[in-house]
Amino acid sequence: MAVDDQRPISPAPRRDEVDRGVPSTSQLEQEVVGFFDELRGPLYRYFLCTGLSRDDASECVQETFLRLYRHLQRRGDHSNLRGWIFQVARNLIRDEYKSARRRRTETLDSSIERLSACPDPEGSPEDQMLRRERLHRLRSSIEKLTPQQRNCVLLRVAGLRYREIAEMLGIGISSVGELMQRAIARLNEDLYE
Amino acid sequence: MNDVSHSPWRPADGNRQADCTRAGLLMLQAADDELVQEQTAWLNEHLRSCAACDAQQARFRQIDQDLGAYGELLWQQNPPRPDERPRFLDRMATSKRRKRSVIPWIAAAAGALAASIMIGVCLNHTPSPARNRSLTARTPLPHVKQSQTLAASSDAVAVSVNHGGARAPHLRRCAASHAKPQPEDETFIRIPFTAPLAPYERIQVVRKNMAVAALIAAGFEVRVPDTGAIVTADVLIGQDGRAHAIRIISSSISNNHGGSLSQ
Repeated sequence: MAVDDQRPISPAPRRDEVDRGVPSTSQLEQEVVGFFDELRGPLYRYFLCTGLSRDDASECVQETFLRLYRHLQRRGDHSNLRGWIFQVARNLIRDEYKSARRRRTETLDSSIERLSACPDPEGSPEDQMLRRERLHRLRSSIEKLTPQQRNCVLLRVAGLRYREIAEMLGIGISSVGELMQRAIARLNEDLYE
Repeated sequence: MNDVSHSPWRPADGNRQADCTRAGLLMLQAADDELVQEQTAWLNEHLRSCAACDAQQARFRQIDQDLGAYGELLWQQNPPRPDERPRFLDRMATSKRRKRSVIPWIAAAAGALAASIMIGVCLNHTPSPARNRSLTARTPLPHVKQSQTLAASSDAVAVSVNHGGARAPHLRRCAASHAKPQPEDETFIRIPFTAPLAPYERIQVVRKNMAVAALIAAGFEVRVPDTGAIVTADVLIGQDGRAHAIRIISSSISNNHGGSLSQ
């Protein structure tokens, strides 16, 4: 991911912090920024494909990594931080949908509506229409999956590798394979039969 | 309907089971281009020999490509803000400053609380010198002495009360309006024939100069040579605005002729 801001993150660690072996603020920030650079794209896509608007998705990405920063400041659990990040993201989505502040009336399907408005440079108008139609059906089929299957599929839509999906969900890659197989069987049934 | 009963990830029994399981995992890795050359060759060989896995592979590829295309289109339609990273760095720095500033704020708040408590205590215990002022109190009213003689001064007025049943406040806090501390027995004396105060009635204490004649009119028996003498007294006024009790201020007797007051 492109680094668009090269300014220093924080001053050097204090001497006493180094002596005590405590991760300095600078190290902490470096770690968080590392996660931010690596995962903000997939996370942003994940928020988008759950139906959040661009601004809300962007805000949720920021909030997720700020929570990560606070979590690490409190010396929270370091095991499987990717999974932790994904859990926070899911909580944020849930809160976002529960929140009375949610102003939009957008449904999950409206992300597809937005896609429909997007000009597709490739293919004839007929191809574009067929493609949009297929994505419509894909979106509605994803909604019918079980939560675990849906999580796998949406994380894949977000651009994560299957190995990363397994890590984020805290399950083995073979379990991801099983979930995907069931999800694909169902999607295949809805989309192509 | 696809043949879900046999899949690379949950294969049918038989000799192919281990191979199909392995093929399933390799399909996932192949989708992410994570296979080495030997693994790719093995997978292709297995797919040639296992029709179920081959069909599954075709379905998997199709859906996987669609999912990827869906994600790409979402991204194209909603590109992230270009200032995401600097914005995040700013917010992280703000969060850090807030955390650092929490402790000084807690200390400041604790100091302010302590100061306000001290001020409250001082206000309650260091009254202003004697002057005409009224104090109010909302307290459970303390007892009243039912029979008492107050010596106003060695040679001056004494008030004698002997009546039953009433409770009147001694109100040491209200007595704070005295410059000098009051003797313990200088309590309020209930004015005869007035209704007793309710236990939590709001009261006022007003200091004023009173003619002895007024005390006589109120029902006290006053024995002084000059009924025109003036005494200073604290008058306890109830919530209804009526006087309920008085307390003679010893040091303010203006009668030098001696005498006594009694009910």
